[in-house]
Amino acid sequence: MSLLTIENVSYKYSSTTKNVLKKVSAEFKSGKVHVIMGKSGSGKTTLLSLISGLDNCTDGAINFDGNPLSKIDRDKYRAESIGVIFQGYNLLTNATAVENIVLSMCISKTKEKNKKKVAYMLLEKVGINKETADRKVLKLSGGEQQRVGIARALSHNPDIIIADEPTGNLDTDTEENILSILTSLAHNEGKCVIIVTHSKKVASVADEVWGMKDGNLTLVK
Amino acid sequence: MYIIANAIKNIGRNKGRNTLMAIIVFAIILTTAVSIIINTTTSAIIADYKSRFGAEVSIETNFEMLQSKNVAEGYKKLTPQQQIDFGRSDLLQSVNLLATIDISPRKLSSLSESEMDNFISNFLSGAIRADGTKNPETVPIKGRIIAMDNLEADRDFKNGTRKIIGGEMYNNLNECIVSQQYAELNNLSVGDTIEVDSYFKNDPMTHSLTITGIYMDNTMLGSNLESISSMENRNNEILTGFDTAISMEMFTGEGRVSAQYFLKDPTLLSAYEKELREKGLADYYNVVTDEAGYKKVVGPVEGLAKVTNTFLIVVLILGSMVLILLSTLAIRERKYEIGVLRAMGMKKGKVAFGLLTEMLVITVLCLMLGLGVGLAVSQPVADNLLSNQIELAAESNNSNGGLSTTGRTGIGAPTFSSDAKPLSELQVSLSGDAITQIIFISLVLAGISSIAGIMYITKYEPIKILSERN
Repeated sequence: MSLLTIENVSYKYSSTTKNVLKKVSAEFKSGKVHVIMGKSGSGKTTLLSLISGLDNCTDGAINFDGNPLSKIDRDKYRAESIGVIFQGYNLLTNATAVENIVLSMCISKTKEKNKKKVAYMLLEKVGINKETADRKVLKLSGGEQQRVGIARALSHNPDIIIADEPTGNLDTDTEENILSILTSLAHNEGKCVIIVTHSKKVASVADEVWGMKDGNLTLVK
Repeated sequence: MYIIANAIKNIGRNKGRNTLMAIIVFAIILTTAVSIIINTTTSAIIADYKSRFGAEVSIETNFEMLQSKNVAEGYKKLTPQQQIDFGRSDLLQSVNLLATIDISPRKLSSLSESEMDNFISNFLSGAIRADGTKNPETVPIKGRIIAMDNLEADRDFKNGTRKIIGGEMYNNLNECIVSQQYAELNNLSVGDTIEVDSYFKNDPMTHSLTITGIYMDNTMLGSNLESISSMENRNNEILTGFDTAISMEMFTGEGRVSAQYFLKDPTLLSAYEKELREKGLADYYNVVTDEAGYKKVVGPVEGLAKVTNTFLIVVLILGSMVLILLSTLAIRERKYEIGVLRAMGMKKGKVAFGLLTEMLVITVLCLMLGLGVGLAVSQPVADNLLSNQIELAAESNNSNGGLSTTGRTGIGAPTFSSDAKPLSELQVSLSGDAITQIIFISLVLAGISSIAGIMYITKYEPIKILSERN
C-alpha cells in the first residue's frame, strides 16, 4: 500500500498565473527509494515543499497514510512523520550541530532519554565527529552542514525521508556513505525515501525514478 | 521545558543583539523605578502637608465685609468664652488654647523696667477710643501671665529654650512658675506666694499665685535688653494653668485667648464651619485652612510630581517605540530561525513562547538590576527632595516674620503650620505597590519587545520565510 499518494496536484505561486505543477499524480511506497529527476525550474522542489507539508497545493490532494494533508495537523506531520533534507540545509546557524539534532528530537517528542548521546551517534553515522558536532553550524563547511541536515532528518525516525539534492555538496566517499544509509533505511527499515537529484549515480540506487518536466511528473523506471 | 532551555541558550547565542536589548530595557526599568519612587516620595510629602494644612483651622475676620457700615457697626470681637466653646466639638482632634493677661504687679520688680514703660502708659491712659469712650487710667505694664491648656504644644519647653530647673510644673489652680531671672530679681523661691495686679491705676484687681517651679529661660538670649520695655521682656512672663487664668477677675476685662483647632480630617472643614455658625459665629468671620501657605510649601512638590509623571510617560512611550523598532529589526534577523523551527514542526505558539521567554529572561535580569540600582539611588533622590522642601518651608516662615497673620483669633495667635517644622527625614523604601507597578511595566515592555516576532510568526507560512532567505 502506498504511504504517500499525490492526486491531480496543481500549484501556482500567487505572483504568477502559470501553474508550476500541472495535475501531478504519483504514489510513493514504504520500503522503496524514489528518485525525482528533472531540469532546474521544472517544479521538483515545489513538489517536495508540498509533500513536506510546508505549503498547500492549489488543487488536488496529497494523502499521507490515507489522510489528506489538508485535514491533518501539519505541524505534527512535519515534526513526527517526515524528515526533510533541504538543499539549503536550513539549520539553526548559531546553535551547534548537536544542538540542532537534539532540538529536532525535542520538537518531535522522541522518547529517547539521552537525546544528546543519540545525536552524537547519528552525526558519527554521517561522518561528523564529536569535535565537529560541538561547533556552531555557522563554522562548518557546506558538506558538513549537509550531513548535519541528513542526521537531523533521521533523528526522529520518520516514516518518510525527503531529500533535495542530498549529495550535492559531498565528496564521493561521503556521497556513497549517505546513499548507503538512505537505501538501507528504505530496504531494511521500511522507510519511504524520496530524493530529488540531478545525479545519475543517485538515480542508479533508486527503486523508482520519476521524471519532472514543465510541471508534469511521469514514471520513468 | 525544552523551549525554555532553548530560549535561555539563545540569549547567549545572540550576545550582541540581546546586550543591546538588555541595555535599553534596563534604562527604561531604572528610569521607571526612580520615577515611581519619586512619585511615592512626593505623594507622601503632599499627603503629610495636606493633612497638616488641611487639618488646622483658623477663624479670620473678613475685612471686606467690615467695609460695609452696617456690618462694621455690629462688629463684635470674639470673646474668650466663644473661642473656648468653639473648641468643644466632636469634629476636632485637638485644641490648643493660650490665654494672655497683661499685668503690673505692684509689689514686684520686672526686668527691663524703664522710662519707656511710663511713657507708653501715660500715652495710653485716658486716650479716646474709636467708639468715643476713654481708656482707663493705667500704670506701666510690667509683665504677662501666659496660660496654655496643652503644655505639649508649648514650643519653648519642647525645644529646650525653657526648662524647669527648680521645683515642678504647676498642676493645680492658682499655681505658677516664674523665670530664673525674675525669681532672682525679686528674691523668690519655690513655695512663695506672689500677688499679681492688673494695670488699672484706680481700682487694681489682685490675684495670688503660689510658685511651684523656677524655669531657666533662654528666650531673650541675643536680645538687647536695654532697648526693650518690661512688657516685651519674656523673662517677666508668669506661666500658669489655663483654668487659673480664666478664673481670674482681671481676665474678664482684659484677658485674651488665641486658639488653634485641629480637625480629625481635613474634609470636615465645612461641617465644622456649619457647627460654628450654629454656635453664633458671625458672618464676618471666615473659617479657613491655610490654603495659601499650603500652596506655597506644597506647590513645588506637586509640580515636581507632575514633572515626574510626565517624565515617566515620555520615557515609557519613547522606550516602547525604541523597543518595537529594535525588535522589528531583530526579527528581520531572526525570521530564518523562525522559519527553520516552523519547518521542523514547532507550532506557532511554541515559537512565540520561546521568543517571549527570551525577552522575559532578559527583562527579569534587568528588573532585578534596575530595582537594586533604583533602590540605591532613591534615598539620595528623596533626601535631596526633602531638603528642598525644608528650605521652602524655612523661606515660608521667614516671609511671615514669625508673626501671626492679621485677623486670626486673638493677639498672639499661633501661626498656621507653615511655620511648623517640616519633615526632617523620610525613609524611602520600595513599597509593594511600587514593586508591583514596576513589574507590571516590565512585563508590558517584554510583551512589546516580543510582539513584532509574534506577529511575524502568525503572518507567514514557513516556506515563505525560508524561500525569502534562500
